[in-house]
This record gives sequence, structure tokens and C-alpha cells, in this order.
Amino acid sequence: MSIRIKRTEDNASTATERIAIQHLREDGVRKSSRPRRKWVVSGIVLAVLFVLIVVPAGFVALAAVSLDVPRPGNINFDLTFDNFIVLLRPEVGVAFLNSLTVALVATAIALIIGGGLAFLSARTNIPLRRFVYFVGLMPIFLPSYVGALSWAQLGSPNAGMLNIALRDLGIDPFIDLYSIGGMIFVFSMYYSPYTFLLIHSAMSMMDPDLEAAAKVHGASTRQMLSKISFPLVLPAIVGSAMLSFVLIFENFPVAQVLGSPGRIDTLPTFIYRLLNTSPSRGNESAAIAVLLVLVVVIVTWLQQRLIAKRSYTTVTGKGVKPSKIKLGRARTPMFVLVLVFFALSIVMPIVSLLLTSAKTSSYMSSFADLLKPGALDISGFFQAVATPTFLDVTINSVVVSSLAALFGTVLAFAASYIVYRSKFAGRGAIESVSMLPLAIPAVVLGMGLLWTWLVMPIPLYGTLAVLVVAFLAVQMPQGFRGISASILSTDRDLEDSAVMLGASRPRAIQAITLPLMKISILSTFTLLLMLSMRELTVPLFLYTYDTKILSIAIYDSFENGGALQTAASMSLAYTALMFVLSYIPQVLLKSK
Amino acid sequence: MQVSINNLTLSYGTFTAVRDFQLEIEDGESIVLLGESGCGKTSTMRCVAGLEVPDTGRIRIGDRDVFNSEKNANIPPNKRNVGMVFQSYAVWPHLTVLENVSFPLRMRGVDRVTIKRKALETLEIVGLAHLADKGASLLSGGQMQRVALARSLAMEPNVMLLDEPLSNLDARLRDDLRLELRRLQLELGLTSIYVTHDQSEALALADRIAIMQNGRIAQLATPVETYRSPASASIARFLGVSNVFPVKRPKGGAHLAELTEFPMAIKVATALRAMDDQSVCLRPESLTIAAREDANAHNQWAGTMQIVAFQGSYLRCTVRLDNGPIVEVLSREESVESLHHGDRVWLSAPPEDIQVLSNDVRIQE
Repeated sequence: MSIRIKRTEDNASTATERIAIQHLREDGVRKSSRPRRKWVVSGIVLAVLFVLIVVPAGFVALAAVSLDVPRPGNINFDLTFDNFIVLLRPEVGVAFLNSLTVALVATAIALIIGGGLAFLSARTNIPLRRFVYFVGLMPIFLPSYVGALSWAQLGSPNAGMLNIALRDLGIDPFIDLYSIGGMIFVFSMYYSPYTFLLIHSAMSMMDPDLEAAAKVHGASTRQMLSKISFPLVLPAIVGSAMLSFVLIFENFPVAQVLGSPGRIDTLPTFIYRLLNTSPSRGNESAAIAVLLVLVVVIVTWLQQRLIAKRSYTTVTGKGVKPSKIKLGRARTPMFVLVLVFFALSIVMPIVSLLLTSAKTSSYMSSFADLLKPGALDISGFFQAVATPTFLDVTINSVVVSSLAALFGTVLAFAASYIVYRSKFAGRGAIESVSMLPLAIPAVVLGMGLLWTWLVMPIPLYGTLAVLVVAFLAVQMPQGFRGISASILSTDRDLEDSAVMLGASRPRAIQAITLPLMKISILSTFTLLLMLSMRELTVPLFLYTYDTKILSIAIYDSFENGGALQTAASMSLAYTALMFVLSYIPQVLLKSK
Repeated sequence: MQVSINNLTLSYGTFTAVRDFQLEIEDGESIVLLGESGCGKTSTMRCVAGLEVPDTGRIRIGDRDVFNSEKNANIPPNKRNVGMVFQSYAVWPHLTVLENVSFPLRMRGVDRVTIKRKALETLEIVGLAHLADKGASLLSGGQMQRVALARSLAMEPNVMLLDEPLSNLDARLRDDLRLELRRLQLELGLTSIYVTHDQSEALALADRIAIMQNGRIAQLATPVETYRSPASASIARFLGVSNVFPVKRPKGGAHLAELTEFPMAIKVATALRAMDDQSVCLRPESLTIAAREDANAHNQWAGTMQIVAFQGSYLRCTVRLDNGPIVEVLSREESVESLHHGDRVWLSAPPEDIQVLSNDVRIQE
């Protein structure tokens, strides 16, 4: 028995793991009669993963307990625990508390938003259900730092457009996004799609008979929801909560955009700042990084324990449509709430970006200013976007992301196939290493990757290739999960029968397994492409002047101030590009 | 082709799935591996297929060693020319019926014209030629089953392996396909190994049934022999034989079996061994029901009729004996038809018809 929940993006999926464990039990771990051959294939994959993931992680761990950070030609092994003294500094305590508060509260709100939207669109008679689904999903197309950036335009303490509007209305401006509250607000909106997707698929895959049975045995709709339906989707709720918590806890860009103006540090921004002070204090940042990793590991472990305790075999993948719950008088108010969320998460940020990119004067005291002739000029947008720099960084982004997605998918397929289909040695190690980056915050991994590729005798640093390599490491868990889920749900007999009928193993994979997995391979590719396109933190450590990518360029022009119009224009173009890219694979699939 | 399996052992970690397994299969013979789940029957089959690599042993197909641990020989599955029908059918949904059946021929590098002709011929045999160009995902369970079969037939296999091929079909279709499978196997002279946990399937399909327990063969015999004289009480129970009762170590003589669970003694013709591990079996068809006591009967027990179910050519009754046990009886006597629930009845059975069975097959090490 196993749970089958449609897996998405970052789903911290115990389902996969459980199937895997069960699979292991059925399949057994056999004493090998010929140990040598069983290592060859897995050895190659393991070696690649080792260089990609284990070395950077190891460098951070080493830096945390040694006197100097790894440098070319000099990896320091003078061990010390002095670096951890930094943890006693009050700023670290404050940053830790800030991170914790922001992550906890934002997760709770994201859960309410995502879960609510999932429930409304999956199970109720709300008007325009497909639109509600779209609203739930939409914020995922806006990278969180673009959301933060546009909300900074809207809600910065004085010059924010909302505050200007308030002043126009004669109200004292009170909105301040450069605060803990501001961070929570932005995080909860832009991380709600993760909870939305997970809970939505759990809710729509529930066997309707389970609810019908509750009704038959005398439960009211409310009792049915609270005693049956809700507990059944609990794994999805817990899973998505933990996932959001980890992602928010380790997020760097949003905290940087909204926190630094008000001098509010979170752990990731603090690490980044330590690393960028002069002289750089890499060992101490590594020590704090260890703390960050620890929290993530604890949360992940907790989630596994929570969900593993009970069996939720009742959520099956039948794909039957559950019955719709009537909202009654709440129908309209609920829909209005959906609209409000849509306005806050999508409409207002886009409008603010549009205005910022089209304003001819960077100074604005009242909305009346915008009505003056020549106040708005769309050519500002084109000027920002038509520069050779913009073209260069866009091409860089697309090239790097496509390559990272391509190699990532291939690597994920090789790893998943070895883990779930073969009897090669070292399967456990491959799975653990593939999932390892999940426990390492991007700031930490970025640091480790930087040291790794400075030290490595292969001259990748300073080229686009180093970004591809870094993205491969960062996104390995997502790729591995996506492909694994698909391999596990593809009956292995399909491939074995081809072998029985005379095909060699590689031929059988090529003729049967790959075509059967076409759709999920393509969607994994898309996922990795999107994740690479929006990744900011890791490239921030690795980019050089010649290898700027789009996310970096936007962040740069914003952080360096002054270039707000450029930042806004590029953000708009960027969002549009993401949207287009996400559709290409679907179009390809249909045209075939 | 002839298949011989010698000293086959397969283990998963500490669990031994198949231990020291021996089996000789004649050319054209249909062997059914019958057993409960986890008895090692599927593992054995997968070793023959080459999908599992045994720890030790030797598997010969025709005059070729496909596996021999001593010579370190292990021919990969795609070179063994063994056909296999999977429980899940494993019909490829992204290909048409014809493409599915053509696959083994394509792998063999046969020319296109021949492929098409042979594939269609094979589809003809299983009665699916009219669906050749249909997508395989659009087929019903029974049709998929036939495609899976045709696909393996097309390769003209040396041995045909069938892994519970009928278990996903509904009862009626299962009965029809069972007979059809047997017909095909006989007509084409296929050497086949068929794995199932369904005893009626085994009885209908096998030339010989190999009952497996704990990774080895507990009994190897024709269906009739197997059913008439199971080698142990656990096999009898597994075959669905009712009225099997454990008995105590004999005290009142080797020909008097005292039941362990009830205060009741049964005279038997076969001498009991001085052991605890035996059972007696009162075959439902060898029990006689009478409405009054018969002074001459050897084994006679009074009881109350519980259920009389009319089954067409015979009656199936359940009788609760005064001594406690509930006994099933199959009767063709017309006089029994007039008996009803609650009537007093007397059951009797001649001692020579009562089987004495060991509880389990003793393993000869």
C-alpha cells in the first residue's frame, strides 16, 4: 500500500520515500555475487554527484571548524572551534529570532491562503473555479524577489506608491514594508502556491466514497470535513507547511530587499554580510551556516516522523471527481477574498512595476503628478530593455538555464533509474546525496560552490559553465524527485517484458521506458528550467562581470539604487519571459 | 524445450526466497508452480527468465546452460528466448497492438514484411487480428491479456513463463481464458511454467503441479494425484480440502486418532506415527449422511444438519457434530434432499477412506 499524491515542485515527499522503502523491502538488498561490475555505473554517477554536491557541502563544514576558508592551492586543515563563538554575538541571536518569527508566521499565513484557495477551487461551488485555481497558482510565476521588489515600490515608508496614495487621500502614510511585518506579508503571498498545489492535489484525489461513507453514517457536512476530509489531507498540509517553512527560513533575496533598508537581519542576510565584509569572515559565516543547516535538518526530520506515524493509504490516485460542497451565503464573500488576494499578489505588483518603468521622473509626490503630460512614457521601458546588456544577460540566463535543466534531467534520470530500478551497489548513497541539497540553504551552498570552483583545478570559475554546474547541484533534489515519482509509477514489468522479448537493457529503456515517461521527463525539465531562471542566491556568489544573468542584473540595478526604472522594466520582461518559457514544453508536446 | 533446474538458491539479504530448488520439465509440458504469496514461486520463475540472478544453482534450457553458478555463466534475459506474460500484462500503452506484437521480431532483426505477416498470424491465433491497429491503451483487460500472450508467442519461445496471468480478470473471463490457454499450450506444444496461487487454475492447466512452500517444492504430482492425496495437511487446506483436523499423539493404538481440539476419536486404516504432527482428513465426498443410526458402521457420529445447499449435480451440507466439529459433506444421495436445517443426522466414513496426513512436509536435508 502506498500513498500516491501528485508530486509538485518541492514536495517534501514522504510518499516517494515510503514507496522507496517498500520497494527495497520487496526487492531486497542482495549480496552481490559479482561486486565489481555492480559498482561501475553507479560509481560514475556517484562521482559526479560527489563533485557537484558533497565537495561544496564539505568545504562549508570544513570552513566552519578551521582557521581559514579553502583557497586555491591551500585547503586549511587547522581545526578550531573558535568560529562558533560568533554564534554568541547578540546580532546572531536577533537574526536567528527574526528568521524564526518570519518563517513561522509567514508559513502559517501561506498555509491559510494556499489551503483556503485549494479547498475553494477543488471542493466548493465557488464561481469561476478555474480562475480561482489560476489565482492560487499564479504567484509562482513571479519570483519572490520580483514580488519583494515591486512591493518595495508600493510600500516603502515614504516614497511608496501606496503611501503617496494615502497622502493624496489626506491620510497619514503608515505602510512600511521594510519591516518584519512586510517580509511576512510578501513571503506568505509568494510561498502560498506551494501549499496550494500540494493541498489541491491531495483534495482532488481523495476517494469520494470516504466522504460519502461519513455522510451515510450520520455526519453533517461540517463534521465530515473536520473528522474525515481534513485528517485525510493532513500529510499534504504538514508536508507543505514544512516545505514553506524551510524555503522561507533560508530565503535570502526577499529578506535582503525588504530587510536591509530597515537594518533588519535574518540569518541568510547576516551570513551574506559577514562574507562580504572586508576582510571577509568566511569561517564565521560557515559556522552560522551550520546552525542554519541544523534547523532545516531538524524540521525535515520532524516532518518525516509526523507523517510516518500513520498510514494514509486511503488517498488514492484514482482521479475521481469528489463531490462539491455548497458554500451558501459565504459564496460571494469568499470570491471577493480571492479577488483581494489576486489584487495584492499579482495585479498591484505588476501595476507598480509598469508605473515605475514608465515614469519619466523618478520623483513623485502625488498621483496627480502622473496625469501631467509626459509624466508617463512607455519608451522608458523599451530603453531599459533594448540595451545590449539586457540582451546579453537574457541570453546568458536562457542558455545557462536550458543547459542546467537538460543536464539536470539526464542526471536525475540516471540517479533515479539506478536507485529504483537497478541492483547496482551504492543505491542508498546516490539517493542520499541527490537529496542532500534540500537540507542546505542556498546561501550556504552558494558559499561552498564558490570555494569549490575556486579551488578545483578545472578552470570553470568565471565562465557560464560554473553557473550550470552550480544549478545542477542546487536543483538535484527537485529533478530526482520528479523523475523518481514517474519511475515508481511506471510499472517495471513494461521494461522487463521488452528485455524478455529480446531487447538489450539500454534498448528497452530507449524504446519503452523513455517514451512512457515522456510527459514527466518534459515537466521535470520545465521545472528545472523555471527554477534555474529564478535562482538568485547561488549565482550571486558565482557570477562575474561577463557572466551576469537576468536575476542578478535585476537585483544589481535595484540594490545599487537609482536604477529603479531599469530594475522594474527588466522585472516585467523577466516575468513575461518566464511565462512564455513555461509554456514551450506543453506546446512541443501537443505538436507531436 | 526441456528445462532443468538444479540446486537453485536465491536470497534477498537474510531472507531466502528459493532454497535448493530442483525441477525437471519435459519438452511440451505444462508445469504449474502453486503456492501462497511469499513461497518463492515468482522468484523461481524470474530466475528462469533471467530477471533475478540466483546465488547458486544451475538452470538449463534445452542443451544450453542459461545460468550456472559454478561456471559463472549467466545469459542475459534478452538472449534466453524465454517468453513471459506478466501479471500486469505489461502491454506498452504508447504502441499499437501490432507494434506490441512486432517488437520481439524487430529485436531479432527480421525484415519488415515478415514481421508484419508473422505478427498478424500470431494475432490471428489469439483472435485479435481485427484490433491490430488499435492503440494498446484502449483495450480491455481480456484483450490486453491476449496481446501479452501474442507478443510472447511471436518470439517462438523455448519456454513460456506465465506469472498469474489471469488474476486481474473477472471470474467469467478467467474461466474462458483458462481453457483457451490450455488449448494453445497443447496445440503449440509449449513448454510452460505457470505461476499461480489459485488452486482451481492450477488443477485445470497443469500436466504437473509443483506446490511450493518456503522456497521449495513440497509436492510434485499430477493434478488428480495432488487433489486426491495431498502430501500434507497444510497442502490439503491450501487446496481447499475441508474437514482437516489435527490429532493427538496416539495412545489408544496406532489406528485410533483422537482429535486435538474436540473430544472425538476416529478409526483409521493407516497407522498413525507416534508423533504430534499429524492430522486426519475426512473427504467431504466420502462421508455418508443418514437420517438414523446404523449399528454396523465403524465411524459414526451424531450431529445436527445446519445447511443444505443444492448445487445442481450434488448437495453440499454442513453438519455440526455433537462432539463439536463442524463438518462439510458432499452428497449425491437423493434421500439427503429431504433433510433440513435442524434435523438430526448421523455421519459415517469407512476407516480406509480417512486420510492421515503430516501437518507439514518433512524436509529432507
